[in-house]
Amino acid sequence: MSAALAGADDRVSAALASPARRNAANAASMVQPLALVVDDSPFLALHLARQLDECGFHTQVPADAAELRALAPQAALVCVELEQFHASGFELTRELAEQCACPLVLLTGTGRNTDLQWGRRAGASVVLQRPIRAAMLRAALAALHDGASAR
Amino acid sequence: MTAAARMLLHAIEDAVQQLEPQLLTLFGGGGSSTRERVERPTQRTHSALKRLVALTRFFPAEHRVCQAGRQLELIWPPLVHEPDGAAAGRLLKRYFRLRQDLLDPPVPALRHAMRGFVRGAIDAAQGGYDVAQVAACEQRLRQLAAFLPEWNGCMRPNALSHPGATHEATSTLSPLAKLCAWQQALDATADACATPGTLKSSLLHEVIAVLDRCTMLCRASNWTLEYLCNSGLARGLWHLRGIACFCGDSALARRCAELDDECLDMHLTGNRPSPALLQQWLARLLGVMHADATAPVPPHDDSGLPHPPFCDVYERELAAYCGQLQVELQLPEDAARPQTTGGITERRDGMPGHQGLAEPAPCKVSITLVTVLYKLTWVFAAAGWRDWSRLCHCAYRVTLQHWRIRQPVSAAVTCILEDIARLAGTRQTADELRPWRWQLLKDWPCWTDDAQRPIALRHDAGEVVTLDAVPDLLSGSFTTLVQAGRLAQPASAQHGVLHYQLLVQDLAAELVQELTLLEKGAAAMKVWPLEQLCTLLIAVYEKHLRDDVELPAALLQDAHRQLVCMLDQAAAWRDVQVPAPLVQELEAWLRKVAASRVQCREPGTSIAVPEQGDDDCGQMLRTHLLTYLGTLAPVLERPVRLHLEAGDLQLGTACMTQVLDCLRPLVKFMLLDQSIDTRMRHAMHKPRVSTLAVGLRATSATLVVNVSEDSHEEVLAPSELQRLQRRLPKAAGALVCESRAGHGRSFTFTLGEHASAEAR
Repeated sequence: MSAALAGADDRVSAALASPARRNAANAASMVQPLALVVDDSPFLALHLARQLDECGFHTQVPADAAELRALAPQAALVCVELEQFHASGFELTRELAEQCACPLVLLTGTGRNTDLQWGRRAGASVVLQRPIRAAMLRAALAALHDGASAR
Repeated sequence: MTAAARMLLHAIEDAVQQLEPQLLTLFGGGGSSTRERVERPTQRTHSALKRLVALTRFFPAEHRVCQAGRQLELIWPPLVHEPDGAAAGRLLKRYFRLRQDLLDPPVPALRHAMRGFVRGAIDAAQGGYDVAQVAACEQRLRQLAAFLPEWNGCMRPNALSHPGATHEATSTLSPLAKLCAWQQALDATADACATPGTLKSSLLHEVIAVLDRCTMLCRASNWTLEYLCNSGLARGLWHLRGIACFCGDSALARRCAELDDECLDMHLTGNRPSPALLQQWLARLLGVMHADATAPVPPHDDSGLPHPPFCDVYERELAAYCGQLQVELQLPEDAARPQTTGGITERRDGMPGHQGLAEPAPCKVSITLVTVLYKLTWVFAAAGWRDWSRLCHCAYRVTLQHWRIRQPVSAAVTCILEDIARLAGTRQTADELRPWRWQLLKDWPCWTDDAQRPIALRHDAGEVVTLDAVPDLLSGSFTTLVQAGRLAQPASAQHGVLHYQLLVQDLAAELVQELTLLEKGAAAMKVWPLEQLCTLLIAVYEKHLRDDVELPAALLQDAHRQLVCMLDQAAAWRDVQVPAPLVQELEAWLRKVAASRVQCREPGTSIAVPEQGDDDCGQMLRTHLLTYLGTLAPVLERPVRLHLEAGDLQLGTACMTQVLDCLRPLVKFMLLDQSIDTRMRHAMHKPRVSTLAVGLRATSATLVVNVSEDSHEEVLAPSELQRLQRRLPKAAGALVCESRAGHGRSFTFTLGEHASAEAR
């Protein structure tokens, strides 16, 4: 996991954790569920974080493996990018599936059947194909919520 | 006015409206100095004119309508005989004077005709845009507009100053949008009888045209190629969006942007849109014309640039990616700096030549570079740079394909990768980027034939799939294996090694089945570390199933954990590393077990086969052959699979000894003959499991023994065959070597009557 996140840029965390934002985040985190975005691309991570914020989550982008491990048990949702520089998202998903009980969303840009099937095998609740649109994300989250309610 | 006359006037009005769009295209601009090329009159136009004139003749000869009809008839010969339109300016004025006599309220009719003309021009422009054509069309509209009383020159349609026009529409204003401006101006000045939905109906025309193109694309054999290189669909969607932006219809513009995104996705994923999807598109577009749509806000504003926070991260990320590209491609120090000025066309004459830059050499790409391009694709897509995103995705697919078949990318592709690093994100048009995509497509490595080759996976069940379907089959196939891997994880292994041993012993048969499938799939996909580990695990489980050897549970726990990790790597198209210590331990375990079961014997003497029951002949023969292969394994440096087909044959002890004595030298020759080839494959990181198939068939007089291999196809020369024959016992009949086209070669010999009598 550490290798997977070694490439993640802390600029995103810095952007997300500016003073004003941090205060808002602290207040928001009291009531909003926590979502984690694991992507080594700062731009894509920020983009997805915005979309998740709009869906009512309080989103964080862990800067490293230690932060991810610390935050994972509290998270209500973890989004993992499949293609990362230093590890495959399948490994991360499998590891996270062992650690936390929250839904895991795997993001893929290739849309292969292998990604969908193997992602599910690795423990992902949903496999979403890029580009991620807010409507698509909302629908997936609603499906996850319905599934959780049904259980 | 009588009712009949009113009806006649209505009929004349209809006839004029039918004739006018055709007739107006025949008039020149009226300039006497230039001889302008205009369209030729057609029979259809002539018929419409004659029908109009015929209608006018119902009026009395002295009536203005009848006289106008007579005069109108006289316009036709000059139009036919002066196709260059030299006198057309005068004729046009004359026509409109006559028109005023023909139609009672001429202004609305003219306005209606102009709208029809604009719509026709928009329809015509959908096949491809010609600036000169649009300019001529505009000039014609101005000429016609001069006959409108409200047209005083100050209300000329100006697309750039229209309040509904956004920057997106006006910065890359399409000819369609210009024509649309005319139509909107005409609608704005129209009287109450003008329908408010006229503009939307032209949009509907555009939508239908886009869908037509999409249907054509669906029929194309190569969707991606067609989309990239001959994409009327992409252009159509873009212009549709431009018109919607211009008209200030933000809901429609957003929906168009969504469709454009979907279109991009179709291209990026290489998927072909289905007819059902096309219906869906049409329904959505039609729906948005009547109701607002709630669409997500894109991360960029109307100027096409990302929002400030995105801009900040985007710039830095792009610089980081360029740095990575610089490392990968070994560019000069200042080469990978993103530039914001200077177009591609200024720097390059054409592909793949460079101006002022050294031609790069072909180079092997790493998976890191492939991942960089993948990321860049989606960064551009998220930032709204769709053309760059398409280009990057094309580069990603090409480099991924090169990486998968271990081929270096050509110098031309390297040039393009360099240029992506230099110019990424600058305002290049789709037309400027198209040659690059062309070049990338031309350098697409040849994989298609291979992908179409059928691979016999699960051949026991008779399932045959093509190579490109192998990953999908594999990823959906392993239930027991994944379960075993999950239970081997440290978090789950709470019950200890003993529990795991009992588990894998229970599941051994299923595991062998799944591992065999995985091994074949890995061999087909040339993922040799996976293949190697599977082969070893199969050998371990087979040893357990055959000889009831106790399984090394701790080793298997580790192996399953590693195997699942390797599968994760392979499924993500990443390099799969061999777990060297694990492989060595498994090999050592197999050697140890084999050594404990091999009996020492004098070289050259026959192994005495013990007496056996009638029912385990095949099993005995198999055990002896496997033992023999086990002794050869350290020399061979590769795994060998044995297939034995003896059917219901029962061999006596003497006969089996005879068969084994004949088979041993033959098998040894076959395996050692492959050894050089195997070492070469090993050096190329492409080891392959050899399969040895032994078939026994008893006839009335002889026992036919057939041994085949899948590695070599060359038939032995007669002298070599003779030498090999001499190594076999004298009981063996004539040895025959045959090639099995595409499936290796086989050796066949017979054993005499004594053996046949025993083989029952």
